[in-house]
Amino acid sequence: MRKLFIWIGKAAVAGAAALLLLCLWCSFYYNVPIHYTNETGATEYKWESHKFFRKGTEGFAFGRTNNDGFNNLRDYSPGEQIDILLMGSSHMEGMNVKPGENAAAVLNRLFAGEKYTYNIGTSGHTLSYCLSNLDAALDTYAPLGYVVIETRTLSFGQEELAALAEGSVPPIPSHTGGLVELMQRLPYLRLLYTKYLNDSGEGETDAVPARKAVDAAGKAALLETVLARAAESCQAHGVQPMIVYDPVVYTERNGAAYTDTDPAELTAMETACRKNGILFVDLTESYLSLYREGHKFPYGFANTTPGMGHMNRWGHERFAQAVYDVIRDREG
Amino acid sequence: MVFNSLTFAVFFTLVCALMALTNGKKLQALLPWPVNSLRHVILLLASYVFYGWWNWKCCFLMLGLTLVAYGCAAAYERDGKKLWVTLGVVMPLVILGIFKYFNFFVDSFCALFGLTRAGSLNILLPVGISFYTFQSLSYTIDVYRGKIRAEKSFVNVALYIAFFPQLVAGPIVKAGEYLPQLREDRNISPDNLQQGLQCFALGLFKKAVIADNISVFVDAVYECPAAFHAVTVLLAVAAYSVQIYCDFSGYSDMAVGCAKCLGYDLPRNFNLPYLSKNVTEFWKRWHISLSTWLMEYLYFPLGGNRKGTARRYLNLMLTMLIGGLWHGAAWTFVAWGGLHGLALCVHKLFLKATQGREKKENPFLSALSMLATFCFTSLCWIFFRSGDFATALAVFKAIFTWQPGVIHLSSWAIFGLTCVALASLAAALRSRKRGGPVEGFYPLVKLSTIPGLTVFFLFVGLTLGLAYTGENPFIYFQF
Repeated sequence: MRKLFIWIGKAAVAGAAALLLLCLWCSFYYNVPIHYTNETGATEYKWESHKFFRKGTEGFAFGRTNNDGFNNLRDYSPGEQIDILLMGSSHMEGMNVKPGENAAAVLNRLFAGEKYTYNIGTSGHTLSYCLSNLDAALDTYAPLGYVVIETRTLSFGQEELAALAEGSVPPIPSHTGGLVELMQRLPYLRLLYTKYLNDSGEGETDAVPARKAVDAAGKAALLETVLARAAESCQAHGVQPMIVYDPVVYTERNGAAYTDTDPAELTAMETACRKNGILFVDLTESYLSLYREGHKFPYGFANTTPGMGHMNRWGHERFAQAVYDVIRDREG
Repeated sequence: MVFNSLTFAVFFTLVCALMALTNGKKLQALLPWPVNSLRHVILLLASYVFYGWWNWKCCFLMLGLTLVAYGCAAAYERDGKKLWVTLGVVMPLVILGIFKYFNFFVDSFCALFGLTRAGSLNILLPVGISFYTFQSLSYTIDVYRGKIRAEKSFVNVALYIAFFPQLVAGPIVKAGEYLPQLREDRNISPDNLQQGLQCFALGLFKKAVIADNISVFVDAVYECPAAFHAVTVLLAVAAYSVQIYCDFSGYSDMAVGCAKCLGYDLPRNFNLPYLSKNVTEFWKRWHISLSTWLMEYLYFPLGGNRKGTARRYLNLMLTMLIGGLWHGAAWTFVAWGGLHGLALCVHKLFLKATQGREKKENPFLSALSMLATFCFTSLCWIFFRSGDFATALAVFKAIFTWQPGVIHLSSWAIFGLTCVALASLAAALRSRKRGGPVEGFYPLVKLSTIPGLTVFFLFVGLTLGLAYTGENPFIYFQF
């Protein structure tokens, strides 16, 4: 019995030492800041400010959040001039590409100081969340020209749209304080949580699973209502809204590329946007040509399934170029 | 129930706890029969629970095969009539044929003669049927050959066939290797646990970290070879060699580890196959338990190399073709076996032609031979991995026409190749230091010391952190 207790003691010491070493390794392999509820309401939450991040599970990029808790090269000063406000999901957040390669950084390069783009893309922020937070985001950042909202899906459930219309989109909770926060500070535990309890690393996606259209006409009407409200808000703030659809590119056995966009849903979105004066950018052709001509996928990294996962640098480039072209065309 | 699941962790902990209880002196004093019998019964019941977890009905099939093997061997020993042995061999083969090959042969027959098939036999392929059928055959034949005596205890024969660590994907244990262990006093001990857990952890790393992560890339390329650049396809072909090795040898390591924890020794199934300098050596290092089984129970009975040169090559080809078919009911597996058979024949011819010449070890030539053997076996795996000839052809086409397409240099593939290369290098250096042939080894640490425990926990932690968490069954389960 005594031997067993001695062994348990040794195992406890060894376990603590191993955990320490694993955390050290994880600091450079998978290290994501903690998120807190965003008091401004511009997003559901925001990351810790000035924190190093690394997501070796997908891509090999690393970077640092700015003082505002978002992935931007520059810190944010309240009241500074923002011309384009970028909203969207983890694809827009761009933590899987190098800091200079995400859409916001590319747009800033393309406009070469003429217009400044600020990125508040945040994981889990599907179109519903972005539209739900739109008012607060425009109040907080007061962009002068455009608000660009990224969406990877056009497939919305009726309940989801109804919740959005009623303003009852369920919040994304932030678990902070006490033991939970302490555990989140250990990167190795965070990795295990992400892998085994939350979601598998690569599988994490903000795409809303496709739902069967029960009442297509009712859904279209709800979509129009929701977008009309967004357009009103933008008009009140003096900005032009733009929705950018970035579909996933799949390949058939013969190598031909396709996207799983539902034409009816695409038409519904285009119509609703047009009716409400919202610019709608469909990246389907741009992404398909990236594959056909450049043999590249807009999503995925060397450590993911080819073509799957988050938006990569080519995807961000195409996204930024499309937004840039639309603005240039519009402004002449 | 698979080794890399929480269900198995709970199941195995319970089995270990039960087995550990049998070490108690008080319990042993209370028992009216030897404690070993109780241990065997526990292990047998655990094995049937393990197997029944997939489909409880399959347990009856395994029980039936066990009854056939037990009954025929006992009857042969009693009467000395060959009929019992014939029955003991034919019946399991017929069962295997019905479950695994019936549809395949009927489909092939219909395709050959342009017939339309009315319908297919809708039967479930029991997991691991090829493995335990071979074990039951091994028992009957070994009794017939006089290598072992027919076992009096039915529980022992049933445990030999159903022992859960090696039940569904090997290693294929010969009766002569396992049954004697049942007569010894074997059980859980700190030493056994120390070795067993480390072997298991190593196997888990190979499977969950290397093989499964690589599979994501390989699956995507084989799903749509036309989309990818030749470089990507080549990398996927090489990566599959690593994937199947780490998947299968990982399972074997886990099986060896589990058995070791319980006090039993299973034979080595892999010995650094990609360090082979020729195909003959490859088959001495790859799936050793199957190749020795095929040699002892198929190649030798066919006549081996005792009936002239032509028969020798014919026997080799037959053995490899059947070996290919054993892996799965598809012509792609037959092609894979056939290619290996041809290569073995060519190698034998080459050896014959160069007989008597002085052979001097040349490191450069050795490395070149290893590379050539790796390339050959990797190209053969294309047939093994492809579900059909059209896919295999598309993969070959992509490589040999230097097809343009998506360049995806999978980091997991590169990681896997590097790991296998480094492990092989370490084993080669160790063997050189010791003198003798290159042998694989388990890098074990002492789990009674703090540094040893730290290394072990660190390794397990890394395995959990890097493991692929999606669904990915062991490749060899389908066989």
